[in-house]
Amino acid sequence: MRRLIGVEVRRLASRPLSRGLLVAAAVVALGAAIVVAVLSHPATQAAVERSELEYERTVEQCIRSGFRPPFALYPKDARAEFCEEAVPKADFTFQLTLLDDVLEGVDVPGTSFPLTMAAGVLGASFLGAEFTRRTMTVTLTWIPDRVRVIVSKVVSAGVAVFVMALVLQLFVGLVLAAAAGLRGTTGGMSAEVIADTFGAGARVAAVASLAAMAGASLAVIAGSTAGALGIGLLYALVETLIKGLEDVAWLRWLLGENAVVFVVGGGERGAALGRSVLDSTVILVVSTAALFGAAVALFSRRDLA
Amino acid sequence: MVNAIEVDEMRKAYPSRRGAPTVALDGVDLVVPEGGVFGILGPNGSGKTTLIRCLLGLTRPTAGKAWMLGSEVPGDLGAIIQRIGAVVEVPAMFPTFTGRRNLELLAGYYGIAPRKVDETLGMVGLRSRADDLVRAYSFGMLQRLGLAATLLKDPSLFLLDEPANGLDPGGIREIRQLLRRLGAEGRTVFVSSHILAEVQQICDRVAILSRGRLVATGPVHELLGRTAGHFLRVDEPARGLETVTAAGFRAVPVDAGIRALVSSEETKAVVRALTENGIYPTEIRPDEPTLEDVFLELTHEQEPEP
Repeated sequence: MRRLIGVEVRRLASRPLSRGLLVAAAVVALGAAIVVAVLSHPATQAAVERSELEYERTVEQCIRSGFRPPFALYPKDARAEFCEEAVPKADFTFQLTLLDDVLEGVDVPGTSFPLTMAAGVLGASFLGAEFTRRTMTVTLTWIPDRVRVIVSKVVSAGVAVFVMALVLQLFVGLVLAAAAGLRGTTGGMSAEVIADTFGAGARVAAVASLAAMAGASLAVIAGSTAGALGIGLLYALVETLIKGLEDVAWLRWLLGENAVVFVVGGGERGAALGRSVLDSTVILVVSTAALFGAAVALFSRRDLA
Repeated sequence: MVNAIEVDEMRKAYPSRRGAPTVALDGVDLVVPEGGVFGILGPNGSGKTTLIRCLLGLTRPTAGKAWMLGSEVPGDLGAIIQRIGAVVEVPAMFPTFTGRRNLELLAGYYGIAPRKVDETLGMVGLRSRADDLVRAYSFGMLQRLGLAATLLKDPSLFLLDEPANGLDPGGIREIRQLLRRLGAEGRTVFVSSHILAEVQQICDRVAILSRGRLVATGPVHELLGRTAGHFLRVDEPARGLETVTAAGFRAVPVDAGIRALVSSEETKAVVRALTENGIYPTEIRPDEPTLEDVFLELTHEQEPEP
């Protein structure tokens, strides 16, 4: 099995789509670092703290002003959340301590959402191409054990994406560290912050890995990449509609919401949904395992073209 | 001696949304002895590829059993697959990888040494194009790459589905020589084809499939003997065929005449039957049959009544 997984990981890494996505992501990360460097300039720790105090005071004024925000995601915290997002951060410095937020990408544009989406597409394409190109037939003339073949391919997608996501985030971290070091500040990077940051990166990679395995399983079920992406989009549509209901009883079962809780390590979102990190982990893993199981069962019985 | 392939009453029916299921294999019994080149012939849709798929476990037969190299398949395929090289229909390879990369990945399944990849690429005449992307390959080159993939395992049994398809005359000759050499080495080459002349040249034994049924099997020379006959050139071949058949003789249509499947003694009676009906043969000669004649005769017999 280890040899099989090794071959499949090498195959995934050789695919133009994998390499293209990696290069595109690296270019975007590099671009982001350059923008950060251009917009930032070094500041003393005292200046950074003054800037933060100014921001917090403005947010407080916003909350106390008594106006009603135009929408309410979660009624209890709506005004505070709105003010935190609406008040511009008069921060002229890129602080490396922000890296945690960058990786989680929940409250700021970051790596978690695009990585998860790309991982799903990569996983779906990895297996979908096997059916449309009929290369699965060739594989089975070498390894006729269908369960072994499909397990090795889906697991390889998960393993390869996990490693790629980690490497990519490490790269993001390094280029932003360079930008912060040269044009911003690395102040406040305690051992605790570094550990949190690595934790966030690992959790994002884990979610991306699960997304890749789910995408690969869907491709096996649908028998093509297009079919898998269709099912994925349909699910995204259903999730968006359910989100519109703003009913926690429904929201807490959505994969997207549970992925956020897992990536941010619980936090306010977890408290609002009544989900711990463990709950969300179980929901994500069980959902992926169910898709995987269905894929294995279907593939074991199917006549191949 | 263990047979290379044995098939017992194999049946495969595909469900159809519009009525009765489509029967691709209808109780096929087949024995392929070890060593040599064995051809399976049949028109399109006769079940050749389905038979190969069933043997390889790609398609589940509706009924029947099969054995390859003494092991029941597909159940025990895992135990013998390393001794089997197979290409089903058009060889499927990853178009965005080079030919070499495709083979290296397959070789990785069994830890086959990289020099073996080079060696097999050389055997099929692809070494100079090994580092081109497969999407730039012609159909014939793809066939060669598929064959190279089967050679990687150094198998004792080859299952090849139309391996000469898409090859130019030079390529066909090379593949023919390669298959004959493999057969002569004591390996078994089970090859499906509709190119009858090819099969006649490379196969020791053949089986003929028609509409999912095995209609004949045996050594090529024996099958050819079944249709020894005489060529009669006549102006109206269709009426001539009708007349000869009505007189109780077996005959098949051929270019500009008919082939009466009769002995020299019976030829007189055939000519009499024709002349009595106003059809005068302008040429009568003994005719050496080809596999094509046998094939047409046997598959013609299988055609349903209108």
